[in-house]
Amino acid sequence: MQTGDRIHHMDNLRALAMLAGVVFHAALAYSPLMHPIWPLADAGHSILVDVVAWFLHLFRMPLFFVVAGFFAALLVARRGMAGLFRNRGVRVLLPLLLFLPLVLISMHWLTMQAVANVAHPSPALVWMRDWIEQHGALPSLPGWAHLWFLFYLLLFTVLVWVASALGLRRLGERIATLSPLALVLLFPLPLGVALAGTTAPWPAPEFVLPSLWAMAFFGLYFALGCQMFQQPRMLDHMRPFSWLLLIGAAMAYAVLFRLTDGFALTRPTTFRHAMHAALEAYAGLWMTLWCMLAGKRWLQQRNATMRWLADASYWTYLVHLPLLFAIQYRLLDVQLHWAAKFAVAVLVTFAVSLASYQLLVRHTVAGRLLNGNPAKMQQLD
Amino acid sequence: MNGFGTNWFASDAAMVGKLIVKDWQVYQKQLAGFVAGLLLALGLVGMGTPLLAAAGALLLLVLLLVVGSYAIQSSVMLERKEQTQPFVMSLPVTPMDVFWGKLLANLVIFLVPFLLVTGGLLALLLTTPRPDGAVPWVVVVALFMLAQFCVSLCVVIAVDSEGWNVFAMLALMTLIGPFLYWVTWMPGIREHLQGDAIVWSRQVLGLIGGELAVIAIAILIAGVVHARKTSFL
Repeated sequence: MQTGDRIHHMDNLRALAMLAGVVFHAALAYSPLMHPIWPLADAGHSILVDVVAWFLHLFRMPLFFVVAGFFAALLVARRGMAGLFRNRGVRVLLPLLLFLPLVLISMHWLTMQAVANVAHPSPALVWMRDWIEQHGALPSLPGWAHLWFLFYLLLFTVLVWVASALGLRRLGERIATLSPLALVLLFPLPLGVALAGTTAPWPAPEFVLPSLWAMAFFGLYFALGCQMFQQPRMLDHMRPFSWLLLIGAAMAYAVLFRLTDGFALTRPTTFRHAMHAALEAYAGLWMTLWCMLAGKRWLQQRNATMRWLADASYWTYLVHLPLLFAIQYRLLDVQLHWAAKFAVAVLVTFAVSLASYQLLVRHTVAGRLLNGNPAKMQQLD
Repeated sequence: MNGFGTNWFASDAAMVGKLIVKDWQVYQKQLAGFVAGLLLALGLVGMGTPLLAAAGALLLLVLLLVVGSYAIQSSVMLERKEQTQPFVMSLPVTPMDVFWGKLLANLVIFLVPFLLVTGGLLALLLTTPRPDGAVPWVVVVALFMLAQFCVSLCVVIAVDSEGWNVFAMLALMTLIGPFLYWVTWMPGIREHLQGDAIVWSRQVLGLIGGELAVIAIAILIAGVVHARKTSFL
């Protein structure tokens, strides 16, 4: 890889992982599993949503963290540790500090409006209405919302320095030299141990303090991404297993879905919980690796539309949840099939976020903050 | 260049910066280990179960104590003991440059985990249903830990005796338990600990003022002693 080359498939994979978040969060409103707790939960829902959405959930953020780890290693190689910290400070810390208050305030305001005005409220909205009637206000539980991944990226940036100072690179190199078969069979084991520390499917670690399971789980994916940069042929060695990974992931997920009764099983025995965690880990890792292989095969070439979408994806991810709140709270009172509401929510959210990116962000200071210097980016293209 | 008439400030700020970077680089491996331990402890607290949270909180406190005493032991005491300190004589620096270099390097090394721990605990209190009234208590205890570290560091810088340094460190560490008990039951703090209001009572402000004064006095005395030295050693 030459210095200055743009790695298109990684950029595109990151964009797709972020844009998939919009689809996933929109789908939660029509998920039977989330119906009792999600404030946007619609009366119309389908098991089909759970089957598809939770499958996407297993590898969407892991894929993002693999890509993030890859780019972190690339930054260290090109600009050194100080360069990595400078870059993460501008691209991660600053957007987190700027957008988190806006996101939290807007979502809280939209929810309060919904509590007051929605005629067909979700069970969570009904609960909030009752609570406010009794106590005057909702209990304050601020966290990172959907921006938790930025907080974890910052933690992993610190851990990159820790790993470098402690000389852990050699350990990663040793693991990377394992045969591809051993890697795809053994790597999910520590992932499963991490997932055993939480419920299935794993929740978003939105709590203000880092959760140990999330640090270990996403950290392992991040470390895998770092190793993929250090050992560029690592992924190529897995190519012969590509379709096996996809089929294996689908089968592991099917067994998991069946065993957990669509994730509705709330109090499994310790053994069954461990088995669920292992199945989640295998399905998630294998799908993530398949996505990496597919990305390298089909998303490698330069493409102006994908380039633009990759640039727009960060902004879209930052603003999509308040937009979904605004749209889906209104849709609660609209008489339509859930699939139509889902399509409207996704399409309008994409349309507003992408249009606002082009009109308000791309050529402004915000665009430079999220995507970097446009002249430099063009040079890399 | 002796006593109170001496130039108290460093003669070359850039050189002091280099001395700080030198200490940072020498001890960054150990510091990285401590930071990893602190993240582990914060992660344990973040798991939310009472047992793991208690284990995490204890680990935070222990690591903070260890990181402070380790930095002091290795960057000042060990340099004297192993006689690697005289290398500074080959540099174009004054004794006060070395004083500020050592003081600031150790503060930087300690403040990274200190801010991580204190910030984490304050964030935990302020953003969860736990009573916010404990915020002043956390600030008072955190500043006590900082003061304890600063006094230990200043004693080590000022006193050329390993025995006295170890005694001072142990004595100060022994004070942590009684101090925790004392401030927890102190009027002006005790009655607000379980409440949601953050009350900066007269006692809390007095303690914070006292702790900041102790830090300033320790640095002042160590500076005076160091400025009186006629040589580096």
